[in-house]
Amino acid sequence: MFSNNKGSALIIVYMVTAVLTILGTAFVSRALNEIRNTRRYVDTVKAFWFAEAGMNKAVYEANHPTSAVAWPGDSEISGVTVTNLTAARKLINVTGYFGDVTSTVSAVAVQSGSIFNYAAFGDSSVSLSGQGNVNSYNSTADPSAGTLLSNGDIGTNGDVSMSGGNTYVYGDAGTGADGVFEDEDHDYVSGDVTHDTDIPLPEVTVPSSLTGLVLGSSVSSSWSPPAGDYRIPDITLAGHNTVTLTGPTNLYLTSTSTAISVSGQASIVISSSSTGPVTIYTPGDISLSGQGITNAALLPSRLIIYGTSTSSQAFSSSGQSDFYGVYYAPNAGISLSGQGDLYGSFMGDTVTISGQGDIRYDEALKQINTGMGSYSIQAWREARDF
Amino acid sequence: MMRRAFTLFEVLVAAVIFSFIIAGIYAVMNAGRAMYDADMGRLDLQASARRAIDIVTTELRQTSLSNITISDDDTSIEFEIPVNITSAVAEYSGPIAYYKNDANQLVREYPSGTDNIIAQYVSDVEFCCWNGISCVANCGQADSVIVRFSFSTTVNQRVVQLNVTEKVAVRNVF
Repeated sequence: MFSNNKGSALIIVYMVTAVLTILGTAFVSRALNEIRNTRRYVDTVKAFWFAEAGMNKAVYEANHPTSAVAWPGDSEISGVTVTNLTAARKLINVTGYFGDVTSTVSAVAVQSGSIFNYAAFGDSSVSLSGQGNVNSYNSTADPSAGTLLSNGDIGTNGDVSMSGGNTYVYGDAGTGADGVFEDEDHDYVSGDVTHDTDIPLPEVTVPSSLTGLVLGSSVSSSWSPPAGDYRIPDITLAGHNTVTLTGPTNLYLTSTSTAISVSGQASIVISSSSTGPVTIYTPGDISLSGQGITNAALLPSRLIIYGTSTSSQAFSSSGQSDFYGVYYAPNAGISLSGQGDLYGSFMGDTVTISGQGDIRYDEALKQINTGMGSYSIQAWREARDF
Repeated sequence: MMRRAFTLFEVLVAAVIFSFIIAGIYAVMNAGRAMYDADMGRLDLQASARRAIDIVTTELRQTSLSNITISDDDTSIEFEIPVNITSAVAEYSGPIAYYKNDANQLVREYPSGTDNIIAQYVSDVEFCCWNGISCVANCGQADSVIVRFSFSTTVNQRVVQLNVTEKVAVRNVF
């Protein structure tokens, strides 16, 4: 009985198994496809972030051209190209990849902002041994410096030395990563003392509008040129001679020895009728004593002195009266030893402060766009169409 | 020897037992197919969500916070992106808009009047300019943009839902 039907259960099992296998295979196939898509999406995200990391690296290296930093993830970054669109604009293209996925981002980095961000900054060192304090004010809101502020930062990529026990820094003090903060006489810093400063000082290039001028004569007697651009060897004043400069004036002093020397009762006066800054470029030395430079408007931003030497130069100021202005000379030894207060910002290779007066950093200098500040991304785009 | 035939009762009992077996198999397979369809629907939603959030965030991060306009009900966003960054004055795309239409689709409108369907089964969209604490109406005061999409579909009378959220750090300032 039923002997002819004994295989029916097996057939039914086979049929069910076959249907389930078909469904299972389709599901597994679809799932594997999704896993591939998901993995590719993850790779796309990783490639994008590697490209972004490469962009950050390129901007960092634009701001730190001598830096040799080993970057994690370097092997996933390729095709970093930097094109100079202008002197202060770079086009940066970076491709990141992960697996067989690539991602490309492009950005225009622009060099802008102020470089006058410290009361005193030395690429190699800053030394303070004077009697005065280092503090700050803001000449825009408080031209007479009636209220002194605590943003008189000092910094260096090397060492800071404070001695004498009479120096008070109302601000931060920063040394380089391997720098030493030496304070044997227990001077005072109101802010933070840090050891990670890494701020390259960009070299100064004399504008072509000045280098192309006909070279005038050296000035050694009283002189009052109208506002304009001038190219002369040097200014050497003694006795009672006075040079009066009216801004906006750009002055290129070509001497590589002594470019400015003021002594005795002589002086250089920045006229109060100036409507712009007096900007001086020189590869030579500057020696100010006696009356030095008188900035009649009492605005540091009205006198900016750039040292353009790529080897070395010396700026010294030992005058009796207050000084309002900015020294910026990446390769200069700057010595400040006068009797009066010094308003502005003083940045060089080494900065030595041993005067009697205060150093008063003008915070308004941060608003000056020198075109030599840090590179930052102005425009960013991802090379991807929709 | 003569075989005896099945009685009517035996045939009916066999039929009932067989129908129970078939019904059981059908129930199992039907449940399996329903789960399969639901899983396929979920995979479809995940793929759709991944593609949508990728497109929106990739484009959105190229804009500027101050350039973003979000509708009062937070369901549409409009912004521009740079198309030529090397020119002396950057050139911009003109308005690009994302919104959910009445057919539950996520739409990218660019250029104005030209719609592209980015995703289906979109039940809700929300854009928010985030200042670190809360959503703000003025995107210029925010530090990032939060994009939130909800997807929902019905497969074999089973509702399948998915929510995706991404915080976008905007790269440009213009």
